[in-house]
Amino acid sequence: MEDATIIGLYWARDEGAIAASDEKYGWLCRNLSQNILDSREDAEECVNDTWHKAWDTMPPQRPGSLRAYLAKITRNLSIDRWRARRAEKRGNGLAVLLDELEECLPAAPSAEEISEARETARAIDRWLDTLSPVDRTAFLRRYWYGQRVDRIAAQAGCSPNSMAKRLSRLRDGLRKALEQEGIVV
Amino acid sequence: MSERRERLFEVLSEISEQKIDEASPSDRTSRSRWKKWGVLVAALVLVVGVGSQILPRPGGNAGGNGAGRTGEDGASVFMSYAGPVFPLILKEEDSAVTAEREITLDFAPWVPVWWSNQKEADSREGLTPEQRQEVLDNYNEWYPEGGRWRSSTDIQVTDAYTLTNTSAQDRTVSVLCPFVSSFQELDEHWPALTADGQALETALHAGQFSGGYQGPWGGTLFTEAEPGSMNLMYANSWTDYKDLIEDTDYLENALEDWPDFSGVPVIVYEFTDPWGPEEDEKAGIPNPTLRNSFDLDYSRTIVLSYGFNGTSRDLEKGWMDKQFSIPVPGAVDDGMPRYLIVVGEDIGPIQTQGYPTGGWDTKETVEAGVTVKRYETDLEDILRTVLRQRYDRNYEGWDARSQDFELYFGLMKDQLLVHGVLAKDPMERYGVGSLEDLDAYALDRIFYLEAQVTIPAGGSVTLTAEMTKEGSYDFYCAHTKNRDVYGYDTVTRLGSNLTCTGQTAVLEDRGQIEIVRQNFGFDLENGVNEVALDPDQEHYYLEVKRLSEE
Repeated sequence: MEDATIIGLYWARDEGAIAASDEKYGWLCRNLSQNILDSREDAEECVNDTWHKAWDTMPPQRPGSLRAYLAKITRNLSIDRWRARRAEKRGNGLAVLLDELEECLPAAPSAEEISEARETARAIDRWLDTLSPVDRTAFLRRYWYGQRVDRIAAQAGCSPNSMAKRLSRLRDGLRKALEQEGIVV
Repeated sequence: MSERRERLFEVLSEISEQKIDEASPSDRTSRSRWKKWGVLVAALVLVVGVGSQILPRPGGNAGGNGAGRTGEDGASVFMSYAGPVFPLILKEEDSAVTAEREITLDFAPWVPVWWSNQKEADSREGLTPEQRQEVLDNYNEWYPEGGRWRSSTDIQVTDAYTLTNTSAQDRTVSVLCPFVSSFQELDEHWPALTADGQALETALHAGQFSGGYQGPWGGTLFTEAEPGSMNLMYANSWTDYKDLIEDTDYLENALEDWPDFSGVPVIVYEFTDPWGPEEDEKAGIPNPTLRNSFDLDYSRTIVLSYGFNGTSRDLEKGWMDKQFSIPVPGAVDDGMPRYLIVVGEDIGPIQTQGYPTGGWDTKETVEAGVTVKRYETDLEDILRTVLRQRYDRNYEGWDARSQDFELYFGLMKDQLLVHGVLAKDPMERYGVGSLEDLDAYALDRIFYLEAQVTIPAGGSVTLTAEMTKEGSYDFYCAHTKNRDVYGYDTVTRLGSNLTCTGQTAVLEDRGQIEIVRQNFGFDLENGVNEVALDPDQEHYYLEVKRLSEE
């Protein structure tokens, strides 16, 4: 089913939208979430939450790329879950106290934080533009989609060792690019 | 993970969707080869004079709408706002006609009903028996108990007006019933208008987009509005509608005719019968593509396109590339003509070249070609042809519904002139001139349903508008205080010239809700389900949750 049709189903409040999303992009979102969480069960729940959020946000959203839109939701939910799980594992003690104190902080990011995050994302975007398509894809498959290095290497037709070196070079490149733009992450 | 690394990992989520899309790991099942290569650059300045020949119907809001504000009267500002119930309007003011208004908010759609899997399958339109069986099989798998309890968060609104003619002669008045909807959702929201129980003949008028545009980052990581006009920003409170109605000639413009482009000459290049190598990943041809390159003077020419899935251009050097994937036989776009529509000075000769991929950096070429026919016509004629094709592709069978082609055509032309590349200040969203980018059919706006009613001298007629109203809500995963809360609101006099001598609101709660916030004055515990509204108070709101099951 074409993306526009699936988006149309969301807009028409047709529950078939979720089945169609799962059929077309379920594998992508599950793999992405599992790469971050390393847990099939948690990934499954994140993907279910992804459909829920997609259902709640379309309308009003009409994404240009449904794939990127769903993947982005999954990624953010997976990061949230990763953090929640880490907090659970910490158990009692100072970490819990710190977490509790953190609740006193305003939930919304400060204007400064927003501005910094925006600038960083733009800088990364600009840096990605300078890369060859092969390097850009390798970097994003590793650090956006969380794919294993050996898998990315196989897709690119090189050895895992060579891909690891390439990724190391790319990380170094990003660090320099961010430094040059005066961005401290 | 340290905080710094965590932050970097998180901020990566906000890079451009195109890059995320392109780097996506291979799909195991998808056969789609569609790739969007739109190069989004600064808006094209219109100097060829279309805007001066055709007057747009102004009234749309191209600026921000202030997302995230708190309502001044204590109402929530929801992330998804359905718009208020507006009062009736007289098309021409008539002091001899007064009204008593009674608005009923009925939560009947909240009552759960059993919906069998078979009923679900039967409700799908246009399926073959095999497809219907597949739907049934899927639902039987998801709901092995044979169905599910289903309920809605819509409400039924009955907005009734007892219109009284205080003069000594019969009066025939034209009334306008405003309601918020989009072209796509018209069937769901369309009010049924009756006078003393008799259905009225109606005509529909459409206002312009009730929201605005914002930069590409707004609404994702960042909570504030962002400069730019790449993304849509919907109206999110009744005050956005108030600003729209009070600051612009919104209604006046909605009643005007659609723009007419028949006086605008254009040159059309029609592309048919593309040919080239078959898709063959092993042979290094994953996406055989035809790139069409030409020179143009951007200060004298605007190019609209249809059927091309990639654009690259240089405004300073004066060239443009438009490309499309050569369709696989039997694919949905196989046999579909593609168009370049040139407004203003003609473009230079078109150079066509085949490439093995859709990447702009691909240097290797392949043998491929397409038949190009050049002819001259007018913009109205070619837009009708092209948009009819698009409408038929996307909305097969919709002509039988409320959303007929003429309305679709008018909305799209209007958008092209007000916010598209024919506008004086086009929105970045539509900047590359692709007709596929126009999304007027999806945008919320105020529609006005017009009807005529005759009120006898000294007598009264009860005019009733019955409609389905969606709830306003926050996105579930946003974890706001309004999770599971739905809002419904009405305005007492906004945009209306009808003299109401009294207004009453009635709540039919159907035992389904608890009230979270309101300013109506309903008191379910003490049986207060009917209240008088103060016409000096412009806005009434009701925010509710579903009563939890015992």
